[in-house]
Amino acid sequence: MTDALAPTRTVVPFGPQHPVLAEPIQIELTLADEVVVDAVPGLGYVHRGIEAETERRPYDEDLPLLERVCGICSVAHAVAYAQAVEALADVEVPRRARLLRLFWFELTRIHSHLLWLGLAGDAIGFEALFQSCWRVRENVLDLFTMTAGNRVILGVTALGGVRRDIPDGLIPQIRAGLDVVELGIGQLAPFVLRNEAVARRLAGVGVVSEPAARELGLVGPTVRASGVASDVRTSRYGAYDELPVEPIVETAGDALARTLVRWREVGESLRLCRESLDRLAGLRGPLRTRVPPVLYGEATSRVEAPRGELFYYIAADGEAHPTRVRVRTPTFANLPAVIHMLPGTQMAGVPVALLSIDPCLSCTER
Amino acid sequence: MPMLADCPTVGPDALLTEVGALHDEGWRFVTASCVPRPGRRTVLYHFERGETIRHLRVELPADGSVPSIGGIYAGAFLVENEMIELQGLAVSDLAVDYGGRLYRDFDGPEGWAHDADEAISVIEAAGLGRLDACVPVVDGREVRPSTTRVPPDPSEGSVR
Repeated sequence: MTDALAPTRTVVPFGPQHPVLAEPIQIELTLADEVVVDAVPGLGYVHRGIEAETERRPYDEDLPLLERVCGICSVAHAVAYAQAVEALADVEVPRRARLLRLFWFELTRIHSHLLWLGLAGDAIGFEALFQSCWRVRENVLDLFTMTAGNRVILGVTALGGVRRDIPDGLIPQIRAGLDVVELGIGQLAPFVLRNEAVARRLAGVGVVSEPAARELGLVGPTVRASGVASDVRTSRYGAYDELPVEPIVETAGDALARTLVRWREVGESLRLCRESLDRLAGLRGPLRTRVPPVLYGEATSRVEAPRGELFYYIAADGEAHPTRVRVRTPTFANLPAVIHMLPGTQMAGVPVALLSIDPCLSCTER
Repeated sequence: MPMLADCPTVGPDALLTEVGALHDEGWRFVTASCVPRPGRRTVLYHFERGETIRHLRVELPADGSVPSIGGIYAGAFLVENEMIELQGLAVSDLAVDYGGRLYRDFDGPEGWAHDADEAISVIEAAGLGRLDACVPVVDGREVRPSTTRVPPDPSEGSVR
């Protein structure tokens, strides 16, 4: 090949502002003509220093702060932090509180997956899918408002339990709301599962093989779409001991497989919401256990957030605030997948490949 | 006092051997946590297999360093670069070295600064202190965080 025919190497800064990204990240792409040969992510556009801030506040005041790490999975952050503090304090969360946490957690998963599916529709130019998914998501947000009083940052979790209850009289309305959500999802199904445009734009894009997914330590729907049955809920934390979950797995490892995993997880989360309501109806008991304000020791906590495993580590040296709170978010674990999947991808496939891991940069940077 | 179960302490020299053994046994690297304390640091490496979590603890003096485990767990490069930048930990032989630029924390008047010296020279060249550089300036007037609108121009006289 003569030099004139050799591919032209170009470095393209993808982001930090890009139509497909709801949040800023820069990926420095090296292209050989139109094909990506290297990708290096750069962070820092939404770093807020939340971990450092937690070290200056009492444990209970850290909870609302950490809920705001992410607007989409605020319940996941609150529960993960609360579980770690409860492990430090060696207190048991009442059963009713554990079931309530599970209900709001799974409702969050439905809302997060619908939000992502809408964004994916927008990224592939299928705007009707975007609008339809977000219309159904509004029904989920109505359920948040009905049960928690807020649309996004719920503020329902407390150290040792929950701050809000769901009265039995509200349960029929919630069930009716869940039926509306299920109906809406059923109407969307042909546009997701049997639509040629969706399949053509997602199939074969951003492939991560099972060995690579294991090697890179990926989490959540990203790793399950590569054939790895990894789901923190199988460790039966919280109320998952009485409402077990089977990981939903696909094997193709591409953007379409990740879509299908999230789609099927919405149905599973609806089931878990209903079953938690079944158990809550008529169940009496306290909503929280007291957690002392001064703690010693170390603890870790893991939950299955909508994007995957969310990990918290807390070190406490006997003061009224933690010595260290470490937050490892799912997107932080899944960013290496981007570096792995992008080389060999056409430039036009980069937005879909990146979006397929459901990146949350506010989570990642904290 | 609850402490982490299954958390042996290893020296930095033995870290790669221990991490390599966990990798060969099929443990997934979850993340690492650096805990700075007066005069020392603790670095914890967290691993998962099935539903089990285990950890490795490395105790270091304040100026101590750990070797990079990025050659064993490819996904470790992000957290290692983060610990360097946010906790000041020294990590040697990084698989992917961002050179202190993973978190792009300074957008000076002249654009991105690529190291601390360059950042300082950019700030000084603009006649600013570090904090001043973080204050947005609109029409030549600073907009402080507590301000919800652009303050009036002092040359126009006092306003209310």
